[in-house]
Amino acid sequence: MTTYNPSMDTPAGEPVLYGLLAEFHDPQSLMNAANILRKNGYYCWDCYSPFPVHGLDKVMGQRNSILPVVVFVVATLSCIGMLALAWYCNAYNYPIVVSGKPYWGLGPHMFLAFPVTVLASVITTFYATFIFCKLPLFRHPLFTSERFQRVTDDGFFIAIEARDAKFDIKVTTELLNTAGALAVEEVRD
Amino acid sequence: MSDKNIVLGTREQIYMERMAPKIVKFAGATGIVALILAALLGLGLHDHMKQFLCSYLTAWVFFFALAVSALWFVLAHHLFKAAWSNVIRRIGEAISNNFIILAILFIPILIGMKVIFPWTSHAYMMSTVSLRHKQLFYNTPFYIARVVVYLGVLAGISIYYRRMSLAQDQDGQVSRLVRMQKHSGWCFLVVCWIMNLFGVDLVMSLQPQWLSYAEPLYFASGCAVTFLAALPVITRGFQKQGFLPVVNKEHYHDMGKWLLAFVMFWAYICFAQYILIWYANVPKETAFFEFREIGPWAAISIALIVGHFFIPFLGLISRWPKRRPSTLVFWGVWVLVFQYLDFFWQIQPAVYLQSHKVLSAPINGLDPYRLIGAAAEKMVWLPLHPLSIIISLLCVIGVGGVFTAHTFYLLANKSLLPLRDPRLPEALAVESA
Repeated sequence: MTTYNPSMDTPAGEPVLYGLLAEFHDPQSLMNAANILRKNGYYCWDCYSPFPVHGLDKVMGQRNSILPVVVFVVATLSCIGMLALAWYCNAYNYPIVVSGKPYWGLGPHMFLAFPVTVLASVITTFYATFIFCKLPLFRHPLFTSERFQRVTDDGFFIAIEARDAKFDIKVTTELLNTAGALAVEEVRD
Repeated sequence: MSDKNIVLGTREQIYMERMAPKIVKFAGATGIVALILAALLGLGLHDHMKQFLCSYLTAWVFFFALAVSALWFVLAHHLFKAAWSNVIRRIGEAISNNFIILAILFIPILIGMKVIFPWTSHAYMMSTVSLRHKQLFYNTPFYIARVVVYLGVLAGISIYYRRMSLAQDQDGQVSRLVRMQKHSGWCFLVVCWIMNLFGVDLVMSLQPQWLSYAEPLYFASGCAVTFLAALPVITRGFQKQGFLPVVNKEHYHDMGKWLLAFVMFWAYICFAQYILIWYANVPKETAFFEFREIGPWAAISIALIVGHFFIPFLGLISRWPKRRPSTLVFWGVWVLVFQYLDFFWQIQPAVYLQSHKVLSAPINGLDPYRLIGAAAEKMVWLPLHPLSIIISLLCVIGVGGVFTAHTFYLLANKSLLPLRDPRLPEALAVESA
């Protein structure tokens, strides 16, 4: 989860090695390769496919996102906050009699709290997803690869970053080939 | 099934050959004994069987809710052309086929109508203008006709769906599935209407002066919760006995999602009804909540909101409790208990406070409910008397026993899976997101 830094230990102007890109024929071989990589202890790598491959996250060893927790906390706080605001305005600071009803009631003020909770959850989900996905990202080293363009159509790829502790061009290329890659190429940016 | 090369389990895991007849005998015998005991205890109370009928109606409504929501679920399965619910469809089909038994079990309520339904008293119905007009709807012949039509239509639809499904096991025709799907649209609408309208007859008619447009939907949402809560419990029970080995945690996850959704829907409608009545503040509407704020019922009302919504909502909102059968079973039982309490809360105070003793007091035209006062304070405790609670529990065991016996009678020797449904392989491979 560290950010990519192209200026590390290379002279300026020369393309930096980003990592290795391997193409696979189908989702099944992608899954196999992901399984092998995880078992070999690689950390900085990712799978790319034109459509969601069910079970891939499990094979890659990814844990569940903390997004639901974040949204739950924000939703709870905004619900309580809205009720507190409504109570402060309607029952404490400037009480108004409306058709003889009590100043404060949980029922009618739930109308305020509910949409505010929903709105806060939606906004949190939207922006938290952006932040967790490191968006907006306008450029990525993998876009320099011709081959990688097929990822939006029928290509299945795995990219291993050079900053991975276990990364070694020879060993990793060998590993990807034995894992069933159709082609392995270096990506420089 | 061999052509698809999928494993459904052995014959013993798909057909309830040995267990079902034993359960039929046991549950049936227990049910009848419990009902007789409850009736005897009811006689011993010397209250014209009011407590017995009231408890019996609550138990009947609870099992009616189970059956009607099972039918509703089966129809929803066809309506959405769902795949995953194929593995549990037979449970829904068997439970939904109890309407004829429920119709027979409704006879004691019809016999005791005069005790629990105040609109059966002519003098009462003539006491106010609005009640005089309501006589068009609340009268004995029309009531019986409605009950017959509702239960008849539900029985017809449920029998049709079960017969078609079982026939497909024999001949494997896909056209049967297509026909079931084609009819599921209007059947679904009809079942939803009946779920709503029966709420008027079973709950709202206990307080004829009361009017709430949200009550039918509230009743229907409570009904819908019943089967969705019972489903994981029953499925897990079957699995513990070695049946349905194909049901996995993906299916439980889907059941949990349904349960969570309808726990929320119930709360939504509950709140909608409360807030409408709160805002309008019209005596004939607020009477419903006024009854339920006297004495112990205030605590039960709060317990319902907390126990039927907040606690299961927090318990089910995460992913893992829905994927673990044991936790889902816990929440299923929890919601079932509170759903029974919900029907109890809707029915029992109404029966007592609308009793003839209270009604014989002079009625104040402006606020017909204010008059209850001290008499009400005493009366609301009656359904919570230990003996009354025992009668209520015996009625649940009684109606439930007969209901269970008939359900297992239907399940015996029939496959627990729709073996030749074209979407069964898809149902087995389902993955819940």
